Amino acid sequence: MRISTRGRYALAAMTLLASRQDKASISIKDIAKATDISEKYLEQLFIQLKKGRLIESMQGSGGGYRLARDAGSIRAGDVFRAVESSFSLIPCLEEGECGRMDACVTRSIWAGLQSRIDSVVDGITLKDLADDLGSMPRTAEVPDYMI
Amino acid sequence: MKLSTKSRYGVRILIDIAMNEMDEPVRLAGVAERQEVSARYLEQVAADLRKAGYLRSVKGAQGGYRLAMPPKNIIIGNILRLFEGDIQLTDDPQANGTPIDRTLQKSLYDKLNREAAAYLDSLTLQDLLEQQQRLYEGSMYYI
Repeated sequence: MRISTRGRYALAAMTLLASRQDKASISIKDIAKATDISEKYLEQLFIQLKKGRLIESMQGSGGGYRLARDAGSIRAGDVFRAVESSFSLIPCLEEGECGRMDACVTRSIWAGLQSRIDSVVDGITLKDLADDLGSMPRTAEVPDYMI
Repeated sequence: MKLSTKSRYGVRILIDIAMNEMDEPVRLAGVAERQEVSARYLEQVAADLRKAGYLRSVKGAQGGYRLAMPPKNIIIGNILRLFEGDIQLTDDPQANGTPIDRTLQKSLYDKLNREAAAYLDSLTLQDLLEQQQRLYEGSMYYI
Protein backbone atom coordinates (compact mmCIF):
# COMPACT_ATOMS: atom_id res chain seq x y z
CA MET A 1 0.00 0.00 0.00
CA ARG A 2 2.72 2.40 -1.01
CA ILE A 3 2.91 5.57 -3.01
CA SER A 4 5.38 4.65 -5.76
CA THR A 5 8.98 5.82 -5.87
CA ARG A 6 8.07 7.57 -9.12
CA GLY A 7 5.41 9.53 -7.29
CA ARG A 8 7.66 10.54 -4.41
CA TYR A 9 10.56 11.49 -6.70
CA ALA A 10 8.30 13.52 -8.96
CA LEU A 11 6.92 15.43 -6.00
CA ALA A 12 10.43 16.14 -4.69
CA ALA A 13 11.50 17.54 -8.07
CA MET A 14 8.31 19.58 -8.40
CA THR A 15 8.75 21.03 -4.92
CA LEU A 16 12.22 22.18 -5.95
CA LEU A 17 10.85 23.84 -9.11
CA ALA A 18 8.17 25.51 -7.01
CA SER A 19 10.79 26.92 -4.66
CA ARG A 20 12.52 28.86 -7.48
CA GLN A 21 12.04 32.58 -7.36
CA ASP A 22 10.30 34.21 -10.33
CA LYS A 23 9.75 30.86 -12.01
CA ALA A 24 13.42 30.74 -13.09
CA SER A 25 14.22 27.49 -14.86
CA ILE A 26 16.70 25.02 -13.45
CA SER A 27 18.89 22.48 -15.23
CA ILE A 28 18.34 18.78 -14.80
CA LYS A 29 21.85 18.51 -13.38
CA ASP A 30 21.04 20.93 -10.56
CA ILE A 31 17.72 19.23 -9.90
CA ALA A 32 19.55 15.91 -9.62
CA LYS A 33 21.99 17.40 -7.16
CA ALA A 34 19.34 18.94 -4.92
CA THR A 35 17.01 15.96 -4.90
CA ASP A 36 19.58 13.15 -4.90
CA ILE A 37 17.76 11.54 -7.84
CA SER A 38 19.68 10.42 -10.94
CA GLU A 39 19.44 12.60 -14.06
CA LYS A 40 18.28 9.60 -16.04
CA TYR A 41 15.39 8.92 -13.71
CA LEU A 42 14.45 12.59 -13.64
CA GLU A 43 14.40 12.75 -17.43
CA GLN A 44 11.87 9.93 -17.54
CA LEU A 45 9.69 11.57 -14.94
CA PHE A 46 9.86 14.90 -16.71
CA ILE A 47 8.55 13.40 -19.94
CA GLN A 48 5.38 12.47 -18.07
CA LEU A 49 5.16 15.70 -16.10
CA LYS A 50 5.51 17.60 -19.36
CA LYS A 51 2.81 15.50 -20.97
CA GLY A 52 0.64 16.26 -17.99
CA ARG A 53 1.32 19.97 -18.60
CA LEU A 54 2.74 20.47 -15.15
CA ILE A 55 6.20 21.57 -16.32
CA GLU A 56 7.73 23.15 -19.39
CA SER A 57 11.26 22.95 -20.74
CA MET A 58 13.26 26.00 -21.73
CA GLN A 59 15.78 25.68 -24.54
CA GLY A 60 19.18 27.28 -24.93
CA SER A 61 21.91 28.22 -22.50
CA GLY A 62 20.49 28.65 -19.06
CA GLY A 63 17.73 26.31 -20.20
CA GLY A 64 16.10 23.73 -18.04
CA TYR A 65 12.73 23.11 -16.51
CA ARG A 66 10.16 25.18 -14.73
CA LEU A 67 6.57 24.85 -13.61
CA ALA A 68 4.04 25.28 -16.39
CA ARG A 69 1.67 27.12 -14.08
CA ASP A 70 1.38 28.76 -10.73
CA ALA A 71 2.66 26.60 -7.85
CA GLY A 72 -0.49 27.41 -5.89
CA SER A 73 -2.61 25.74 -8.56
CA ILE A 74 -0.74 22.41 -8.62
CA ARG A 75 -1.72 19.94 -5.91
CA ALA A 76 0.47 17.07 -4.70
CA GLY A 77 -2.25 14.74 -5.97
CA ASP A 78 -1.89 16.18 -9.50
CA VAL A 79 1.80 15.26 -9.48
CA PHE A 80 1.16 11.70 -8.25
CA ARG A 81 -1.57 11.12 -10.82
CA ALA A 82 0.63 12.43 -13.64
CA VAL A 83 3.36 9.84 -13.03
CA GLU A 84 1.60 6.85 -11.48
CA SER A 85 -0.26 4.53 -13.80
CA SER A 86 -2.99 4.34 -11.19
CA PHE A 87 -3.46 6.18 -7.95
CA SER A 88 -6.26 3.88 -6.80
CA LEU A 89 -5.84 1.37 -4.00
CA ILE A 90 -7.83 -1.31 -5.82
CA PRO A 91 -8.96 -1.69 -9.43
CA CYS A 92 -12.69 -1.58 -8.64
CA LEU A 93 -12.40 1.99 -7.39
CA GLU A 94 -11.95 2.91 -11.01
CA GLU A 95 -15.57 2.54 -11.96
CA GLY A 96 -17.25 -0.37 -13.57
CA GLU A 97 -14.69 -3.04 -12.74
CA CYS A 98 -16.94 -5.16 -10.61
CA GLY A 99 -20.44 -6.50 -11.07
CA ARG A 100 -21.03 -7.07 -7.37
CA MET A 101 -20.32 -3.48 -6.41
CA ASP A 102 -23.66 -2.87 -4.65
CA ALA A 103 -23.29 -5.80 -2.32
CA CYS A 104 -19.60 -5.40 -1.62
CA VAL A 105 -18.99 -3.88 1.75
CA THR A 106 -15.23 -4.25 1.52
CA ARG A 107 -15.26 -1.85 -1.40
CA SER A 108 -16.70 0.79 0.91
CA ILE A 109 -13.71 0.45 3.26
CA TRP A 110 -11.24 0.95 0.44
CA ALA A 111 -13.29 3.76 -1.02
CA GLY A 112 -13.29 5.44 2.40
CA LEU A 113 -9.53 5.07 2.67
CA GLN A 114 -9.05 6.30 -0.88
CA SER A 115 -11.11 9.42 -0.25
CA ARG A 116 -9.08 10.23 2.87
CA ILE A 117 -5.84 9.82 0.94
CA ASP A 118 -7.17 11.94 -1.92
CA SER A 119 -8.26 14.71 0.38
CA VAL A 120 -4.80 14.91 1.97
CA VAL A 121 -2.88 14.93 -1.31
CA ASP A 122 -5.34 17.32 -2.94
CA GLY A 123 -5.37 19.56 0.10
CA ILE A 124 -1.77 20.65 -0.29
CA THR A 125 -0.20 22.56 -3.20
CA LEU A 126 3.36 22.88 -4.43
CA LYS A 127 3.32 26.41 -3.08
CA ASP A 128 2.54 25.11 0.43
CA LEU A 129 5.39 22.61 0.13
CA ALA A 130 7.84 25.19 -1.23
CA ASP A 131 6.94 27.56 1.63
CA ASP A 132 7.53 24.76 4.14
CA LEU A 133 10.86 24.01 2.46
CA GLY A 134 11.85 27.67 2.72
CA SER A 135 11.19 27.70 6.43
CA MET A 136 13.22 24.54 7.09
CA PRO A 137 16.15 25.14 9.41
CA ARG A 138 19.38 24.87 7.43
CA THR A 139 22.25 22.87 8.76
CA ALA A 140 25.90 22.78 7.75
CA GLU A 141 25.72 19.38 6.01
CA VAL A 142 22.95 20.57 3.75
CA PRO A 143 24.18 21.54 0.28
CA ASP A 144 23.10 25.02 -0.64
CA TYR A 145 21.25 24.38 -3.86
CA MET A 146 19.26 27.60 -3.74
CA ILE A 147 22.06 29.53 -5.46
CA MET B 1 -0.43 2.51 -4.81
CA LYS B 2 -2.03 -0.89 -4.57
CA LEU B 3 -3.56 -2.94 -1.83
CA SER B 4 -2.62 -6.64 -1.91
CA THR B 5 -5.22 -9.23 -2.86
CA LYS B 6 -4.50 -10.98 0.42
CA SER B 7 -5.71 -7.96 2.38
CA ARG B 8 -8.84 -7.72 0.32
CA TYR B 9 -9.67 -11.40 0.61
CA GLY B 10 -8.67 -11.47 4.26
CA VAL B 11 -11.39 -8.98 5.06
CA ARG B 12 -13.90 -10.71 2.80
CA ILE B 13 -13.32 -14.09 4.46
CA LEU B 14 -13.87 -12.58 7.90
CA ILE B 15 -17.13 -10.96 6.82
CA ASP B 16 -18.31 -14.13 5.13
CA ILE B 17 -17.53 -16.35 8.11
CA ALA B 18 -19.07 -13.92 10.56
CA MET B 19 -22.28 -13.80 8.53
CA ASN B 20 -22.54 -17.51 7.90
CA GLU B 21 -21.39 -19.20 11.08
CA MET B 22 -24.30 -20.32 13.18
CA ASP B 23 -24.54 -23.77 14.68
CA GLU B 24 -21.89 -25.09 12.40
CA PRO B 25 -18.50 -23.70 11.45
CA VAL B 26 -18.12 -22.30 7.94
CA ARG B 27 -16.52 -24.43 5.24
CA LEU B 28 -13.97 -22.64 3.11
CA ALA B 29 -15.44 -24.27 0.01
CA GLY B 30 -18.63 -22.36 0.73
CA VAL B 31 -16.75 -19.10 1.22
CA ALA B 32 -14.92 -19.71 -2.06
CA GLU B 33 -18.19 -20.25 -3.89
CA ARG B 34 -19.85 -17.15 -2.45
CA GLN B 35 -16.81 -14.95 -2.98
CA GLU B 36 -15.96 -16.44 -6.39
CA VAL B 37 -12.34 -17.19 -5.50
CA SER B 38 -10.38 -20.44 -5.54
CA ALA B 39 -10.59 -22.40 -2.30
CA ARG B 40 -6.88 -23.07 -2.53
CA TYR B 41 -6.09 -19.40 -2.36
CA LEU B 42 -8.52 -18.81 0.46
CA GLU B 43 -6.87 -21.58 2.45
CA GLN B 44 -3.61 -19.66 2.51
CA VAL B 45 -5.32 -16.50 3.62
CA ALA B 46 -7.41 -18.33 6.23
CA ALA B 47 -4.27 -20.03 7.56
CA ASP B 48 -2.67 -16.62 8.13
CA LEU B 49 -5.79 -15.40 9.92
CA ARG B 50 -5.83 -18.51 12.07
CA LYS B 51 -2.17 -18.18 13.03
CA ALA B 52 -2.76 -14.56 13.97
CA GLY B 53 -5.62 -15.62 16.25
CA TYR B 54 -8.60 -14.24 14.31
CA LEU B 55 -9.99 -17.60 13.17
CA ARG B 56 -10.08 -21.00 14.71
CA SER B 57 -10.46 -24.19 12.74
CA VAL B 58 -12.82 -26.94 13.77
CA LYS B 59 -11.83 -30.45 12.72
CA GLY B 60 -14.12 -33.26 11.69
CA ALA B 61 -16.86 -34.04 9.21
CA GLN B 62 -18.70 -30.82 10.02
CA GLY B 63 -15.39 -28.97 10.25
CA GLY B 64 -14.62 -25.49 9.08
CA TYR B 65 -13.75 -22.08 10.45
CA ARG B 66 -15.18 -19.86 13.15
CA LEU B 67 -14.22 -16.41 14.31
CA ALA B 68 -11.93 -16.73 17.30
CA MET B 69 -13.06 -13.44 18.85
CA PRO B 70 -16.10 -11.14 18.77
CA PRO B 71 -16.34 -9.00 15.59
CA LYS B 72 -16.13 -5.78 17.60
CA ASN B 73 -12.62 -6.78 18.70
CA ILE B 74 -11.35 -7.28 15.16
CA ILE B 75 -9.83 -4.02 13.96
CA ILE B 76 -9.54 -3.66 10.20
CA GLY B 77 -6.23 -1.77 10.51
CA ASN B 78 -4.73 -4.82 12.20
CA ILE B 79 -5.95 -7.16 9.48
CA LEU B 80 -4.20 -4.97 6.94
CA ARG B 81 -1.03 -4.84 9.04
CA LEU B 82 -1.09 -8.63 9.06
CA PHE B 83 -1.15 -8.88 5.27
CA GLU B 84 0.64 -5.69 4.19
CA GLY B 85 3.29 -5.67 6.91
CA ASP B 86 2.27 -2.13 7.86
CA ILE B 87 -0.29 0.43 6.77
CA GLN B 88 2.06 3.20 5.72
CA LEU B 89 1.85 4.85 2.34
CA THR B 90 5.56 5.63 2.32
CA ASP B 91 8.68 3.93 3.67
CA ASP B 92 10.26 5.28 6.81
CA PRO B 93 12.34 8.39 6.03
CA GLN B 94 16.07 7.98 5.51
CA ALA B 95 18.34 9.55 8.07
CA ASN B 96 20.38 11.37 5.43
CA GLY B 97 17.49 12.71 3.39
CA THR B 98 17.67 16.03 1.54
CA PRO B 99 15.87 19.11 2.91
CA ILE B 100 13.17 18.45 0.31
CA ASP B 101 12.73 14.88 1.53
CA ARG B 102 12.42 16.09 5.09
CA THR B 103 9.91 18.74 4.10
CA LEU B 104 7.71 16.28 2.23
CA GLN B 105 7.90 13.85 5.12
CA LYS B 106 6.82 16.44 7.62
CA SER B 107 4.27 18.35 5.57
CA LEU B 108 2.65 15.49 3.69
CA TYR B 109 3.71 11.89 4.26
CA ASP B 110 3.45 11.88 8.04
CA LYS B 111 -0.05 13.27 7.76
CA LEU B 112 -1.02 10.75 5.10
CA ASN B 113 0.21 7.83 7.20
CA ARG B 114 -1.54 9.15 10.29
CA GLU B 115 -4.86 9.62 8.51
CA ALA B 116 -4.78 6.19 6.88
CA ALA B 117 -4.02 4.48 10.20
CA ALA B 118 -6.63 6.48 12.10
CA TYR B 119 -9.32 5.57 9.58
CA LEU B 120 -8.48 1.87 9.37
CA ASP B 121 -8.11 1.56 13.14
CA SER B 122 -11.51 3.18 13.64
CA LEU B 123 -13.23 0.36 11.73
CA THR B 124 -14.06 -2.99 13.27
CA LEU B 125 -15.49 -6.11 11.70
CA GLN B 126 -18.67 -5.34 13.62
CA ASP B 127 -19.07 -2.04 11.71
CA LEU B 128 -18.68 -3.87 8.42
CA LEU B 129 -21.24 -6.49 9.36
CA GLU B 130 -23.74 -3.78 10.19
CA GLN B 131 -23.05 -2.08 6.87
CA GLN B 132 -23.41 -5.37 5.05
CA GLN B 133 -26.73 -5.98 6.78
CA ARG B 134 -28.00 -2.60 5.63
CA LEU B 135 -26.85 -3.28 2.07
CA TYR B 136 -28.77 -6.56 1.99
CA GLU B 137 -31.88 -5.01 3.43
CA GLY B 138 -31.60 -2.16 0.94
CA SER B 139 -31.24 -4.47 -2.05
CA MET B 140 -34.16 -6.64 -0.95
CA TYR B 141 -36.57 -3.77 -1.25
CA TYR B 142 -35.52 -3.18 -4.84
CA ILE B 143 -35.87 -6.75 -6.04
